[in-house]
Amino acid sequence: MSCIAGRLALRCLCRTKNDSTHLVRHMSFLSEFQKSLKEKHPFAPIQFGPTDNRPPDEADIVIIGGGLVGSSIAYFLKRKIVRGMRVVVIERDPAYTRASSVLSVGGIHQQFSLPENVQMSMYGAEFLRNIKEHLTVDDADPPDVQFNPQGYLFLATEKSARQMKANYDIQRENGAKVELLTATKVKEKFPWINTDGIELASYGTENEGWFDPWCLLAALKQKAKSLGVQYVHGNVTGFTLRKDKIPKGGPYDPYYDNRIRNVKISMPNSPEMIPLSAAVVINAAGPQAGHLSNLLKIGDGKNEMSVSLPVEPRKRYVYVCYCPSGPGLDCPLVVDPTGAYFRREGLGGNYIAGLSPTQKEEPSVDNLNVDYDWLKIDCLFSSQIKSAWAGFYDYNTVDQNAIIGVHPIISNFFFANGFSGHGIQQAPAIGRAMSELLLEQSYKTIDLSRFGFQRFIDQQLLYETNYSSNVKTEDVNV
Amino acid sequence: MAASMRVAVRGSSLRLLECCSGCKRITKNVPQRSMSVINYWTEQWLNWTTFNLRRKNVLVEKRVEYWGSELAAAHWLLAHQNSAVQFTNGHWYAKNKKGRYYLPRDAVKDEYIISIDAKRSRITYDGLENLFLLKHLKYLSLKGCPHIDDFCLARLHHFKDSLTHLNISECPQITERGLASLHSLKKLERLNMKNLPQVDSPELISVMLEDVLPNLKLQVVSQHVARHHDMMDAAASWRKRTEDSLKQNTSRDEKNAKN
Repeated sequence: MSCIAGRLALRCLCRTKNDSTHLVRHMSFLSEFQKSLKEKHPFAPIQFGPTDNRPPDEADIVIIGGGLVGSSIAYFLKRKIVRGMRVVVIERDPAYTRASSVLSVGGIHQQFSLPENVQMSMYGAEFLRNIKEHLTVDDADPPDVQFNPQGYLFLATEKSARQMKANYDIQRENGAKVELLTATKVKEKFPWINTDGIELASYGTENEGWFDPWCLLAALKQKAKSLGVQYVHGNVTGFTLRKDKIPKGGPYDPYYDNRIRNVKISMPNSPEMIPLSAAVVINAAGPQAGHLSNLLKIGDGKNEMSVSLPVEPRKRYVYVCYCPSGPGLDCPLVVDPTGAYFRREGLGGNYIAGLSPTQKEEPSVDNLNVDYDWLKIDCLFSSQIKSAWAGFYDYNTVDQNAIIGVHPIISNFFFANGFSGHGIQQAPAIGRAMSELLLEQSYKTIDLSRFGFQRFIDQQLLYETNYSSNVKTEDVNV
Repeated sequence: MAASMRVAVRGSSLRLLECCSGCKRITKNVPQRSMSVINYWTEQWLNWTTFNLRRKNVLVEKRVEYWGSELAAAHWLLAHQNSAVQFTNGHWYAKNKKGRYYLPRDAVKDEYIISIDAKRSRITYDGLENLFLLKHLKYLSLKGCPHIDDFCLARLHHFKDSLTHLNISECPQITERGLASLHSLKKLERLNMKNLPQVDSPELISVMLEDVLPNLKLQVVSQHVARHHDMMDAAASWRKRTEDSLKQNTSRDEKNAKN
């Protein structure tokens, strides 16, 4: 046996970083065999949760929000520690009628200017590629997210061409498969594009495209449930805080440790309010994250407590157009410098299009009604609008990038908010990062310490520089 | 494939357990993990197969450094994927019946791989990296490869300058979305996409691909076109026959009327 192991070890000449459960290249099969003997198969059945909707009395980790980000965090936490840790996800709407995850266009691309964003999207694409290995539940069909690997095509005018070239270098450094095309090459490759005013274009050849986020959400939820996560249908209406005084003589002397003691959940269709005692609380509430952190009086105090979570909902419209003479199979998701975007949907001549508004024209967020006159399509082809829908971005009003990490004062409240339209691309990476932060005390694969809440206090904001001339930093968050 | 196999095996072993209703160890609502030794060993076997699959599909840079890009790819294909390789001189190289293969010892200048026959091989998404340094690949056959899916087809854009014949028939994981990503292979002349179980409407995709790729001629489309022409010819000949017979009848009637 040992000589076979030796031969195996010699044959594997390459080695990369070890992600403990997802092995790409590995030195020795026998070491994994030994590890798995100890960890994976204690001979006892998993405890199933209660069948009625009552949350338990206490839980280790409570995730508020059961969308893509919340379910991804729950999955990544539970896949490392299946037994001995209780994870509860609180979702106010199990049918996901207003959830941003399922109302999104479903695109994934790596064309960002911050290296961490590129790495997170790369991991998102890798996760989708290997979704059958990650999220298959026994005795069920392996999940299929219907990924279209068509790529993104960002167009830039003269003004933004330099920025696009700088971003291209960062993207290539971090492993994104992106090409820069001049206007003539764009015309060669996509003869149906009108290249007036276009100086440069950036086209993603691999790991970019669009998929069905509902399939991903269903797969994550199913797998999380099979690993023992309990999904509770309820609304969080408040928290109970405790304030411990750390005794003298220690290194934090004198220091008050503020922690959340209970999460108050109001049950549906009943006046009942159940307190759930939690060790760690994660805010994955999407557009309602700001409202949730206001319940904790974040933004309502002195010094560091005076900085509130700058996340609010922003409504975006998505239109389905019909144009039988439009671009065929080679149509990527094209993003105009003005912020308009469109992509092919299916094989029947339908296209999905949208337009990001400027700061002044933000529509009201009271409801999900659609304004059909919003999109004046005079860009590439004449078409007719068949239908439309609206969804909310969890928009980070300060710098439109993710907010991840612990709150500086309330030491067991974690954020996973503010993705500003990139939530579905970054959900797997955020889940993995959060599980590393909670279970291994620091980020191991992608270092997201720059994205913490502290940056609002220290005013070290992270801006994503984009290619559009008219619209400011937010624009093309698709 | 490994995941679907895992599903099949687990399902069958659970059904086996359900049959042993007399066993007191097994509780009624048996969850996914059950206390079965059979289950344990099959899971270990599956772990070994996935590990082996990944090992066979690693890109080894030392191999490329030593042999050069063409021979390194040839070695990988022959040794690990049990395929056949043809060079520009027309010679085919493959494993013989004893499981041995013989390749040139040194890389010869201007000798490139022009065709790869990787039928039913276990090439995965990561394994295709080994082939990206081949710049003169013309014929690629991935017939019946269980791990080739839509992402892999998107990766084939590296061969857009040279690939003329592609065979992806009988690949169980390919769908229409992967076929749509073949639009980058501008030199493609022939594409074999028969018997793709997950593609519902190959005719529609074929027509759209023929629109996008200038040199492509698909047999499915040409069959339909030929059938359409045959039908038109048959209709025209029928019309001609009926007109002729009508004319004959009218002339006969006129003759009879005269007489």
